[in-house]
Amino acid sequence: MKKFHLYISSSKDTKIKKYFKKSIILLIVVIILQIPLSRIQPAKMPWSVGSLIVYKKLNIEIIYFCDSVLGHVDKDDQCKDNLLVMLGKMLPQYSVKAVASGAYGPDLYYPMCKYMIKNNYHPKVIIVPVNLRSFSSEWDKNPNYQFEEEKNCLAYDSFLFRLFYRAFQVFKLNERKVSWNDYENSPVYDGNVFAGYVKDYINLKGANDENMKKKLIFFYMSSISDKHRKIVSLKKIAQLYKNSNTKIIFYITPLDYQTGEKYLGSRFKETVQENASVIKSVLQKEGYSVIDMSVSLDSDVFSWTGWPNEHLKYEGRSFLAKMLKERITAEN
Amino acid sequence: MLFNSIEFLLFFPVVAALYFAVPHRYRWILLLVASYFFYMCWKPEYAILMIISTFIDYWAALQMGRHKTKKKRKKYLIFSLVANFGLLFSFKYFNFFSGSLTSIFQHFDLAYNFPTLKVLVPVGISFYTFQTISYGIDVYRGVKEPERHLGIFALYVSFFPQLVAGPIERSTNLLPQLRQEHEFDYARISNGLKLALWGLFKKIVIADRLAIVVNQVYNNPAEHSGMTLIIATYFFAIQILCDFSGYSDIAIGTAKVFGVDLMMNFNRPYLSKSISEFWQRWHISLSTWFKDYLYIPLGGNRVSAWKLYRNIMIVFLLSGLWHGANWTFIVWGILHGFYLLFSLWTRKIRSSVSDFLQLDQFPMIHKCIKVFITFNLVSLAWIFFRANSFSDAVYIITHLFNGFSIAPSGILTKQMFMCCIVIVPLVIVDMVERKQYAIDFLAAKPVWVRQLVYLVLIFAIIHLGIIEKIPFIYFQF
Repeated sequence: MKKFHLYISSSKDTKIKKYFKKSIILLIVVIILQIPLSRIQPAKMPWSVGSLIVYKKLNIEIIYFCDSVLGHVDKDDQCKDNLLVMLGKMLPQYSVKAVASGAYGPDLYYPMCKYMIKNNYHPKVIIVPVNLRSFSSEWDKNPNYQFEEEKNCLAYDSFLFRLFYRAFQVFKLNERKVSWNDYENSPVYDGNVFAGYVKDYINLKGANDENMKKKLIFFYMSSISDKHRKIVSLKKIAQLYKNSNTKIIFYITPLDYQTGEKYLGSRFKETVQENASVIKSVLQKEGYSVIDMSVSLDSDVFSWTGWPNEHLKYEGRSFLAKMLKERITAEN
Repeated sequence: MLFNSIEFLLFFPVVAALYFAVPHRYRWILLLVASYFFYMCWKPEYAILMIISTFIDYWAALQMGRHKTKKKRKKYLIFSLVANFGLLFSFKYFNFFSGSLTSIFQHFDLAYNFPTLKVLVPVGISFYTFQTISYGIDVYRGVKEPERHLGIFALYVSFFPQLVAGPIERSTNLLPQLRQEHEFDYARISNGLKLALWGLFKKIVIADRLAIVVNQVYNNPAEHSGMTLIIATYFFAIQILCDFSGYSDIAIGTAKVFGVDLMMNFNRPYLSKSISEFWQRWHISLSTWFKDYLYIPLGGNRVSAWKLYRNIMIVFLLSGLWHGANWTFIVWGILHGFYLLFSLWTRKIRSSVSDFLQLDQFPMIHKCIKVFITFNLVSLAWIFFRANSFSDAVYIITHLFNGFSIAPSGILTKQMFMCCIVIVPLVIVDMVERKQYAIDFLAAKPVWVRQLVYLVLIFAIIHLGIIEKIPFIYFQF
């Protein structure tokens, strides 16, 4: 068999060597000069990455991942403590901090967990909420909810990465992988039945009965597969901490199932419970029990106007915080 | 894949390294695969159109090559033109014409909705279609022998440095270079990379920064005063130059690394002394395309005055339409056509005024006046090009001199100041290039000066580059 060899003659070889030598010198000069320059104009890392480093330094014992549910307070609530503050007050013996923002989900919690382990940060407890709406096309495919910047920084954070992070930003490292066009043309399912595209649902105006039904289908009614990327992330989190001293508390976020039943009948609750059981079964296989609060709260403790969501009033937050406190203290 | 992306920063060195590592006879395969990969990063299905266009023109040209008489060759040329323009029309213009006809019918209270196609305009379709059309016409005219190697021809259509935004290459220039063996040439590669670096600087540092101000003003023109509209219009003139010539520089520079010399696409267009000179310096590959394949076949300027006027207007109308399926582009093209006609009609008057003012005795002042007028006429036309709608363009033009306070409505003065700063290197390069290319100018300087300039460009890109995604303007065409 004829051996393949590089098409480089000796004279060319010398030129190539010269070229590479110069390129490497240039690279080294750029790196050296970039060290002081990056101090003058430091790259702005996403706050979630920075906060994890701070929490490590402060030796925070309980880390609470969450979406917007964590910080929400109803305007009519007498007590304005959000979920994090309530939990902190219930557990004065522990330090509790959150890494939370609107639309955060398991696909982001997994790189956060990896990042903590990489940085040798092992909190005692990590709370991982699972919002059933986050699996819907409305949320999962939304270009604004992909968090490429957070994921890239969590994955690649290092001295050299920080040094050239601005250059990476300029060269579109954090560019959205999902376009608005792709999002709008993503299919929506009611159970496993095709029910149109995202564009048929996102611009609904006026919360009349018909639109409310559509929104509930859009948010909660598609059947979740155990191959969904967010479930895969949850499974990976479970595997990551399987034999560690860190306790992971998975819970399924309460949702307003009574409003769902009002518009879609009993099939709403059935679908929600089926989806919850898919998540529970996956995590049970990894040795974790999941607190399922999906259908545990009445409609009047939810705080939403317009379209249903998982934001809670004081009573709802209080119930959730107590459940978490019990699980944390029981586990310890 | 964008030139200003991490993906390209990884893709290009890998392809270049492989290019010099494999024997010459396999290089076309490497470049073809790389080009299709580059293109398919946007939408893989778009490649089908390019493949169809490649096969049609390859076959039609071979058929033309087999026949000696023009009459017989003509039917294959017509087939090629119909197929290429058909694809272009279907994907780029059908919905525009359909929508316009529906609007006209509605204007006359006739309720009829013409059908529309649910398709997106494939990236770069206007560029590669014009390139393949020029090949077909060249073969028909006998200027070029048909290319018998399907792979090389496919590479001619899809060569990634110039695939999505030109320069629109001629088969007589590009095809022979794709066949030729290119040695590893240190000086050529170094010059190519320097040109690409300058192109990146123009795009990322200048054009994208100006775009922030331009977008803010042009997306809400009614919220801004006359002076802000004027500044934004001038900024757009510079933005589109840096955006498009930046792309061309990167394309020419990267092609140079592979040993391919692409044609020059910009030659300091804003220093033109007339509109006709502007079109000899702006998007040269397109203007010469229109000249060679449309203007001259129509009779050029060797016809009666009325036919000359007709030819000019046809060329500029189609040039506007080539840029986009929108009335604003058509008006932009017509306006440039009108500028040219006006300059023809007023030639004697302008000459008399010049004589009266004795401007010939002050050639520098005379030249500056001409450049100033030309730049302002071009900038005025850019308003139609950039405006989101025809009504927005009219609003901007009618409010240009309405109020002279700068940035009263939210545009940071700092942003405008930064824009003025980043334009300075462009002005310096334009001044230098009056006599020689900037790269040649620098080559004569001591090594530390050269290295300092390159380092300043690199660090300016890193620290002054804009993070937000602002696509190359000409990608949409």
